[in-house]
Amino acid sequence: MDDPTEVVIRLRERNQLTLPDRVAQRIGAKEGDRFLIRFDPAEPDVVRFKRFPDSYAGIATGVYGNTTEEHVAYVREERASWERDARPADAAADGTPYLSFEESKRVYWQTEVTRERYDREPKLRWPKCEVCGRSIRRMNDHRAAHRVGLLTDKGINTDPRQQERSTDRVAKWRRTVAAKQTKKTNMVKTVRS
Amino acid sequence: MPEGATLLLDTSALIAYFDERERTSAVATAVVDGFIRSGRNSAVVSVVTIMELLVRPLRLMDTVLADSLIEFITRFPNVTLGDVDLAVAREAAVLRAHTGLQPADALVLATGSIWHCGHIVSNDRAWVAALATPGASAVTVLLDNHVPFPA
Repeated sequence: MDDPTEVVIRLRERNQLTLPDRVAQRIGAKEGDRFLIRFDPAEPDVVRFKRFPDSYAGIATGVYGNTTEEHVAYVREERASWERDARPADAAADGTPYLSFEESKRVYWQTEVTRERYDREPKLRWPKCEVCGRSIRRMNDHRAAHRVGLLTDKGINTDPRQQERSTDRVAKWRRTVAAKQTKKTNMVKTVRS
Repeated sequence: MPEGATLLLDTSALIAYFDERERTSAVATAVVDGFIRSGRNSAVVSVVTIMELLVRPLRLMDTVLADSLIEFITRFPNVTLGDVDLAVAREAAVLRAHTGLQPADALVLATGSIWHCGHIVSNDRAWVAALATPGASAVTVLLDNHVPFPA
């Protein structure tokens, strides 16, 4: 059922085409639907049709928040950001408030958070995600990514391309570590011999 | 909203339409898919609103959603994109000079004024209350005032 459909049609007088029944049924097309026809001179024999949906309701569910209040807060935050210095220095670009020194000591209880380290290491000012437990600078954006399924409960990106890039990075890091280890071992052997 | 009136759709109203789970979504859907799509009313959306709508999806690197939002604004029947041109900038300056509105609010409202929008549709109670001053040229419509909405 998910196989691509190919139908040969013939252009009639006055450039008229008929959308074949098989195609119309599969895309749920009906009289009055609107289509965008796209032609790219780079591919002179290809013409693409895109059917516009009847409604765009629900296309961004959860993206801006879960409630009316969260949605309104998002818009207010965007508008307030126009004013210079409107956003407090202790907040990220998406409005996420940073942890105070006392909050940081509580959240990062396994780390010895001193005033000097708190000032020097930005990560100690970031809140931890209540879903995946990661330290996140832009928490509002991060929570939205969880809501819409772009991140797993462990905070892993669900985009396969992103996963592939992460896998490549880890593999590269492992190769580098292994190469360093081999070099170190060879040096020790040379010194001993 | 009277038939034939031009509506200015604020960002918060469009978010209610794009998010089908919130309590005002049914009202927003009735306005957009009912009144506007059918041609009962036409609507204007400011480019400022588009910018505001696109920020979160682009931060999430969801370019498919960003493209769909742009498609809605540019292709949906009876929806017009309100650019910020000299007339809108001047009107926004007048609003800011007389009312102290923030830049983004002033640009959105000035767009509605230049396009002769008789009704401003929003989901922000505080914003609507601030705009509903005696003698205001446009009627403000708060989606929340129409909840529960008959399906």
